[in-house]
This record gives sequence, structure tokens and C-alpha cells, in this order.
Amino acid sequence: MQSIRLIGMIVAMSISSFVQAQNLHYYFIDNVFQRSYFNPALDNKGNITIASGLGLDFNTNGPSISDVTTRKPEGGLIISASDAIAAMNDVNDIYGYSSVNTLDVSVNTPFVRISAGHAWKAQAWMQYTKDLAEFVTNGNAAFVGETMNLAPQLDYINYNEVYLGLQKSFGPLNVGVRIKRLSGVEAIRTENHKIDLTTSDDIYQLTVDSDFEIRSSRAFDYTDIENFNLDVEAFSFDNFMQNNGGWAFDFGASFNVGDRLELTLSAVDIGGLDWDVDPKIYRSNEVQTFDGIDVSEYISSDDEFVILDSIEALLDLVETNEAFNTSLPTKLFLGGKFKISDLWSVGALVQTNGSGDRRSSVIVFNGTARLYSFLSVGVLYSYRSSNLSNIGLNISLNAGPVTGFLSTDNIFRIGSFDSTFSNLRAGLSIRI
Amino acid sequence: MQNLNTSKIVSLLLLFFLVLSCSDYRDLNDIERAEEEVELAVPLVNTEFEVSDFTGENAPENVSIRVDQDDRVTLIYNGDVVRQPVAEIFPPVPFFGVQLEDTSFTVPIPFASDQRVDRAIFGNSKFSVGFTSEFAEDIDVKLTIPQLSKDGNIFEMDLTIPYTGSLPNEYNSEFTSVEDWVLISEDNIITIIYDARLSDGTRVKFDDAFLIFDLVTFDYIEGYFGSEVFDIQGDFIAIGVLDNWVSGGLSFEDPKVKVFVENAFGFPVRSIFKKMQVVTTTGEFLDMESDVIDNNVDFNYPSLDEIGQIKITEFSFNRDNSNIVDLFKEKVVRVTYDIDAGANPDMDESITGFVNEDSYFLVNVDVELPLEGTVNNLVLQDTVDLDMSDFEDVISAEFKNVITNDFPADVTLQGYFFDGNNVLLDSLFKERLLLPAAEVNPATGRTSEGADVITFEDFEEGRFENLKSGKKILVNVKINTQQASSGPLWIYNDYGVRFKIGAKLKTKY
Repeated sequence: MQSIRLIGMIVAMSISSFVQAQNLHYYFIDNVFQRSYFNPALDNKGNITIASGLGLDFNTNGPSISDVTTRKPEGGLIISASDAIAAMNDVNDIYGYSSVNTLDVSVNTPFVRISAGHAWKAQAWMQYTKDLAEFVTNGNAAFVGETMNLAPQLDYINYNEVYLGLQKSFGPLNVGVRIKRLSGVEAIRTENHKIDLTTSDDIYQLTVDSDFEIRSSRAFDYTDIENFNLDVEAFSFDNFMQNNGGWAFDFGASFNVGDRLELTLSAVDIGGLDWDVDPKIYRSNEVQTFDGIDVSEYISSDDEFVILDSIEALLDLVETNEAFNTSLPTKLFLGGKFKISDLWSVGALVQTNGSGDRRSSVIVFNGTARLYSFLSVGVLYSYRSSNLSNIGLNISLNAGPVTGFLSTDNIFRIGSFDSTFSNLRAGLSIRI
Repeated sequence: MQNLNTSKIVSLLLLFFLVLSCSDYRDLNDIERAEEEVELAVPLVNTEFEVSDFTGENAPENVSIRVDQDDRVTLIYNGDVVRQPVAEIFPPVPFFGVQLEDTSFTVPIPFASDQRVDRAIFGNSKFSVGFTSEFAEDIDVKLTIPQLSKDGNIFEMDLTIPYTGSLPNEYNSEFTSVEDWVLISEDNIITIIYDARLSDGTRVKFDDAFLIFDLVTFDYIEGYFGSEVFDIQGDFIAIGVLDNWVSGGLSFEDPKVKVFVENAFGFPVRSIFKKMQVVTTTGEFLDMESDVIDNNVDFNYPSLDEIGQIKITEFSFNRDNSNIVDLFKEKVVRVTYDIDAGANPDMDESITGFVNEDSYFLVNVDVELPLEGTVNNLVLQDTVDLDMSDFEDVISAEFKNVITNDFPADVTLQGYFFDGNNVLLDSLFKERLLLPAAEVNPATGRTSEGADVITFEDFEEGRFENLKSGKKILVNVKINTQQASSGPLWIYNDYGVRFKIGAKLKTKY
């Protein structure tokens, strides 16, 4: 049944997102090129740098895996949609992000530092209602005489970027800029999020009041509620530097106050993409009611009763082929680091991320101990409205010109199914 | 290393990786899905059968209704309109030829012997002449038909038979139209005269001469057309009310068979009833008995000074002049009829009639059933094929029925499910569903709006599973007006039966 597919889609998205993480730790790690991902002005060390990185992030305010599952005595899990519903809020969000910084190269010239590189990024945000989960899991019989809010919201983009960066230092002031040529792999985005299903208490007449729109490039095909296809890619070079093009810019500055204090400000991912490969917009904006079959219309007719077709037609998404554009979620960073001693340093970073009304903010505090010349360990506390108690750890190792780091949030629940958010960032850089 | 010792550092790192190693994710290798139960509440049927549903695009094709000023309903079953044009009453004379044995030769016009044609105007008729010449030169021919005239001129035609260089010289003329030429011939003949001359003026006769007509039609004929009987095609009218009758009785107070005739032929015509019968549900043929049949009916017709007019004749078989009320008590499913038309039934040759190209007979027979009567335990039954594939995943169901009956008749309803081998599986309702008659106001004879009857029918898991092999459902309806009134009742136009059925369908996945 279609409901199984929908549940599967939500659960699969949740599970797959558990292996995603984006964190802010590496802003506080000294001497790694990846700091410049936050701010192009921070690519300010060494003559030649080669770097690579991986980032994964998952975050939900809905049920965790442990809410959805129960352990079998012999090992293994039983996944239950009903258990998930019991743990849901009326409205639930899932956020996922993954990135692969394939290669970054930075060269310092006498006049300016020049950098270039490639990255693949995918980010998804989905908001679903408890009503939707109830409907696809248990049906509408428990909601006779009521209206269910079924509209999901989804914003997903998958793209490659190739950039050219410039950085210049003016004494204690460093400034940087990156120009990114974007190439979209696929996208799905919803607009106008209204699908209200009312079930009458008479003979369960159904009314769907919709004002809903799904935009897609390459990822979503819809025929009817029984026949649709959602097919998302992982790391992909599809369409690379051909269509679905766009531009984005990063701007940043940092200011060093003496040897101990560094202050930074940056804006990252200012831009967007024009989606023109297999663009589809599905719209529904009407009030449709199914009162039941009027049998009198079938007298002296060879037509078959079409109850299922009539129900499916309640949500009639009309397809048009229109190119559309999406903005990247622009991130603003304001941060600083203070070196207390050779062993300890502390820092803070404020991030606001998103676009329009889909913007979230976080503030993080960091303490880092440089234990050896080759080893540093950091602890990070982040505060965001959906979670007030996130402690993360990071570790960095240095061997000559090579520096690697690994960091993660939510350290007390890492690997636990109780976790509703998790992330991981790993990076490697060679600096001469 | 200044303020932290090595063991603490190592402990911290171990803790870091210990936490990572305590992952729950190994359980992801073995995931099962818990069974869930879905219950969908959906409307299934929401329909209202009103009297007007007997008409309109979804009703049987031959039914219409008439509502009088008091909102009372009469069902009208329309028979096919039988229209017979002049070509079927007076068929055209097909292709024919005659040998012209002399330079003046008489050809008979093929009218019946008891018909007298005083005057006729040819339609689109054409003829050709042929000659075989033994003369080695061109020959001029003048063809004359004295019985044909137009605008005061006798029909004449000049021909030249060119010499082709060899003998005998065979010649066939082009076809010539005589349309609009007037034929006046007391003896129903035409005379063909040809005058053939050599170049020196010598008149000659051909050894072989002939005339052929491709098709002889007339736009107008005036005269006496004899006492022929014209066969007007018979037909039947299906009365669908009792197609599915099983038992019980239905009585109409005033059924009628109405005959409507249009006549544009200009001579006396009288009906000849070859067949007027009803067919019952048992296949029995019963004759209509009526003075109308015994005495026949003279159809109105236009006179010579009413050429082009259409005369209408209407008559009916009703409770006052026939046994129709008794016939319809026998559960009629069809009325069959075959009516011919006899021309000049009194054989009065002094009556000069006419036929023109637009003349026709049109006969239309309708059956009218004013819906006033009684229904006595009438049981109707029909079988409907089922397709349960939509419910393949359903394990149980609860149906909610909301039914309203405005008619002054108790209606009880039951359905029986059968599999492909006609084995009874179950019934639709555990108890036969009763739709009580709406209350009749004695002052007006009309009912007030019926009350909603709400019932729930539970098909629990085993019961519903049993129905999935169902291939057809037999619907049995019993109707009775006796509880509402002992006498006949009228059906009014605003009466109806409303069926609303919703279901809660449960499935597991």
C-alpha cells in the first residue's frame, strides 16, 4: 500500500540522516584549512595547502530511532510506525546535510592568496505533521468529524560547486571572497502548504481543501497518489557544469587583536540555482469533495464504479513544466577565539542558517586544550532552541605538514538510538 | 604538557572512542516491521432515485415522464416512430427498355390496373434511345412524345446519327432527363414517334430501334390510386417496469396505448389492425380487444387544395374502450402492434387524390402509464456482477447505511452474494432491511418526506473474507402499498429514495 511507502520514506529519511552531521567544531581548530569553509578570510596560513573534508549532519525534533523501534530479545529491532506517532509533536522537522569537499588547493602569491576547489553538497529539510503520519499509518477512521492537516513541507537540493577564492591580509585584518559556480544535481521544494482532509460524520464524505505546490528537478515524478516516484541521488556529478546552473558568493573578514584574540565575521552561500533540467511543478489549489458514487449515473451504463479513482482524484496535482529557482540557505557567522595560554584557548561562534522563514540559529562555546604539539582536544557546548544540552568533542592530530581532525556533537548519545541529532566532520589538510 | 597528566589524556581519548564503540547501530542489521492496522472511512454510495430518474440521459432510452399541474407523474414509453415515405408506398419503376417496332410506338406506363393517373409530373427520370442504321451517311432524327408537355410545348428532341464509316452503324443517345415534364394520358401510355431523314429528305425506318428508362419517378401524381393496402412496418414497445418481476401484483388505474398518425397522402386511408397485443412476464401474448380495432379508424388526409399539408389523426386504447386495464394486470413487459393502411377503403373512384414527392405516413405508438395504482407485495429481483478486487486488502468492514423513502410503500431489501459456481456465500444484511412507507396525508393523498433510517452492518474479519470470492449479488426488493393505503395512490414527482452508504474498511500491513 501507498501508506507503507510513505512511512518507509519518512523512516528511511530519518535513519539515513543519522549518519549525517554538520558541526561547528573545526572553526576552533587551529591550523586547518577547513576553517575557511566558515569564512574565506581564514585561509590565511601557509604557502601551499591541499585539503579535503567530509561533513554529515542530522537533526530532528520528532521521534528518535528508539521512539520508533523496540529491541528484540534475541537482538535486532522491530520498527513501529504507531510507536513513532506516539512520540511525535503536532509538527515535526527533519534536517539533514552532507558534504564532500573533494579537493581544495590554496596558493599564496606575493599579492594575494588564491584558492580553488570542488565540493558536493546535499541538504534536506522536511516538516511533516502528526496528522499525516496518523493518516498513512492508521487511516482516517479515528478522525471522523474532524479535519486532518496532511501537507508536508520539503526543501531539498543536491549540487556541486567549483570555486575560486581570493584572500588578502592587511596587517591584522584579513579579508576573503569566494566565487562559486554551482551545478545542480536535483531539487525538490514545496510551496503553499495546505492539504486539509475532512471526514464527515454522516457517511464519511471526504473533502480535501488544498493549496499545495511541489517543484522538482529530476527527483520527483507524480502520476497520482498511488503512482509517484521519489528518487534522490547520493554523491553525484550528474549534470556537472551543464544545466541547473547558478552562482554563489562567500564573503568574510577576520581581525586579530594582538596574538591572543581573533574576531571573525562572514556570510557564506549567498546565491542560488536555476533549475531547468526536467523541471516540474505540481499544483493543487481547489476544494474537492467525494460524497460517494451516484449509482443512478450507472443505470443503463456499462461504466464501472470508480470509488478508488474518485478518492485518489481528491488531490489532483496538475503538472506543468516550468523552470524555477531556489536560494541557497545563507549562513552568517560571527565568532571569536581567545588564547588563554599555550595549553588552553576558548571561543564562541554564532551561526544563523537558512532563508526566509526557514532560518535557525545556534550559539556554541568552545574550550580547546593543546595537549601536545601534535595533539589538541576540544569540548564544545552548543545552544539551540530545539536542544539545550549538546556537548561535543573534537580531536586534531598534526604530523609535520599534515593535519587531520575528527569532531562530533551530542557526545553522550553518540551511537545511541535515543539521539535526535548527530553530526560528524572529518578533514585532512597538507600545508607547506 | 603542563596541567594535565598523560593518564588523564589517555582516559579522555579512551572515553571518546568508547562512546563511539558503544553504538546501537549493530542492531540495524536485523530490522523487522511491526504489523500496523489501517482503518479508512470512505463514502461508497450517495444517490437519490427520483421519479425524474426515469428520464434523462441515464434512463432507458424509450422512457419519458409527464408531470401534470398537480405534480402527478405519468410514465410514457415511446415506440419507435415509423415513417414511410412515398418511395416505399409508390416505389419507383426500375430500369426497363422497350423495342420500338415502328416509327410510332406505344409504351405502357407501369401503373396498377385499378389506378387511374390523370396527371403526373416526372421526377428525375432519364431515358435514352438507340438505333441501328444501314445507311452509309449521316441521318437526322426528330423524336416526339405527345403525352409529355411543359409550358404548352410537346416533348421533342432532335438527334443526328453520324456515319462512322462502316455498316451497320449502331448509335446510342445520351440519357435525357424528363424531370418536370407533365404526363397526361388517359390510358396510362406514352407514344414514342421518331422521324428519321436521309440527306435528300427521304424518311427511313430503322431495322432496330429501342428506348430505355433508367428509373421512372414522379414528383406528383393525381388520380385514383385504387384500393391498395400499404404495409406500415410494425414494432413493439418495451415496458421496463416489470423486467425483473418475481411475484406479487402491480395494478394501474388508467393505462393507455396512444396512436398518433401523420398523413400527407391526398386520398382516403383507413387503419387495418393486423396485430395489437401485449406480452406478459411469462411470455404470453394477449390480444387487445377494442371497438377501435373492430371499427377501424379513418385517417385524415389533405384534399387537392391542401397539397403540402399534413393531417393528424390521434386515437387511443384506454379503460373506456378496451380491455387494457385487465391486460396490464398481467404484468406487461411489451406492447406489440402492426397497423396497415388501406387506400380508398370505399373504392369511390370519384374521389381524385394525389401523391407528391413529400408524401408520407408516420405512425407513432406510445404507452402511457399514469402512476396511480396499487402495489401488492411486488417482488423484483436482479443480479449484478461484482468485482471485489478493490477490497482485496480489506480484512473487515463496517457499513453505515442512511436510507430515506418518500414513497407511500413499504420497501424491504436484501442482497445475496454468490461465488462463481452460484454457491450462496452470505447476505448483504443480517436482517432484511426495511424502509417503511412515508406517511400519507389523507387530505392531499401525498406523503411527507421520509425519515432517515440509519443502520450499521458489520462484516467482521471472517465474514468479509468469505465475500472476497463473490462474483455476483442478487438484489431482492419487495414493495407493498397496502400498509399506506388500501386504495390506489398517485406517485408524485418529488418522491424519491435516497441511499447513502459509507464504510470503515480495515486492513493490515
